[in-house]
Amino acid sequence: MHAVEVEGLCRSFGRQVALHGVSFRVRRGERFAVLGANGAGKSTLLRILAGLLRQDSGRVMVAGVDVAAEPIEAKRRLGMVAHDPWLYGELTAEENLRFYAGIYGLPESRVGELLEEVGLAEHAHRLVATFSKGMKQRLSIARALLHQPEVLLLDEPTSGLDARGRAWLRRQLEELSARGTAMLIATHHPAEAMACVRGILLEAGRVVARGSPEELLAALAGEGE
Amino acid sequence: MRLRAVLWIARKDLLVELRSRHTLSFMLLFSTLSVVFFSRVAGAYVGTTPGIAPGYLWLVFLFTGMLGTGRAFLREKEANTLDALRAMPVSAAEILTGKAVYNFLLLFGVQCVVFPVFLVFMDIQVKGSLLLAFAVLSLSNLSFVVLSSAVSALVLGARAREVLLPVLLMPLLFPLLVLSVSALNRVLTGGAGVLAIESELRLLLAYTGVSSVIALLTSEAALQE
Repeated sequence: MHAVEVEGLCRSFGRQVALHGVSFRVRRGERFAVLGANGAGKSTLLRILAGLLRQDSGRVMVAGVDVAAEPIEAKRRLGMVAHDPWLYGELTAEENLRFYAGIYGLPESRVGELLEEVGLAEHAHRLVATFSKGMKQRLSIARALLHQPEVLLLDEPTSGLDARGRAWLRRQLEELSARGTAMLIATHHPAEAMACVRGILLEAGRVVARGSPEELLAALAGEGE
Repeated sequence: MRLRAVLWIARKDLLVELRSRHTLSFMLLFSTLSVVFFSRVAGAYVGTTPGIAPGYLWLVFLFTGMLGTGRAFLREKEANTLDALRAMPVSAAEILTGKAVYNFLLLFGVQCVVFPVFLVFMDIQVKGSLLLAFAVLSLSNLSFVVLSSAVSALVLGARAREVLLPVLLMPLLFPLLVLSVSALNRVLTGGAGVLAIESELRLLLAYTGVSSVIALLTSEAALQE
């Protein structure tokens, strides 16, 4: 069974086609890049996978669960790190994670574990509004990993991170990969795609290339010429 | 429906509100100012025609409620955290119910402060049970928050949502206001007991039930992107 299976996915917004016949499969523990320029359809693809948006046609399976047919069950198996950190500025780091853990029905000890894991244990009682962009991104990753999802969706995960933050994130992704978590990383940065094993190149909602990061970059360079 | 998820959402909203106090302080300020305003403008008429007092009381709560309860979803939208709720394994009905519970507590808190202030400022000679009058207010409050939470979710994607909310909500609230004002009038100025207002209470309960069913049935569409 694949961690993610996408078949013939189509989605339009009015007359504008955001995704057209997108198909791919992601194996367990694999880091999979969704490379493309702004407006290529990356975020739409991730939002459909996360159950935030309905597809017009096509099928999306996450860990063997059809996202459209069983959205709640699929969401249990998914974690998402979006553009925005999805955190409440008026709450502390611990309160934020405790809220999400409460919804998932997880024990409180999991919150402490995650804060320790992302290096924010000493800032647990600080309001998130006072956090730097990098700290928010770490906390956002902790939020997405609370329930130990089988599939992690990351939308431009290094945006706003400094070099140290990017190195930390790369180590985290490698560790998660080793633990068997499949990852879909939507990015327009070729360097981020290089951290993946395989991927697809999206252009105007269509898959124009697929394969290793090197193959994707070659296709990207070919487009630019 | 999972009660745990509903309570976590309501608890989180209360915590955020108690930290920021933006909505609660504006609701209290607005309602107290309205009571003072009405007591100056219409206090003399209430003395001669006490039956109009519950109508004024409901005018205060109506506008205060619309001012405050619409904020629950709007705040999530502004902070980009609505997607976080939708990406979790919770149904739209659970999110809506969580928001309605929070709105109920918010409006209940305002009523606890404003109701006695209203009785004093309007110089109302209460003939019936204050407890029963407050129970009628709370039951009406329940119906009000169900409808206002549902409609505020429905208009979330609209451009002029702040204007749209009262326009859509007012006709829906009309039966509730008529029943509640009638019951309050009979208790406060007529000295009626629970048996005397049984028909109003039954209708209020039925209205709350029907509103809740419609709100839950439309929640999925309302929170869909």
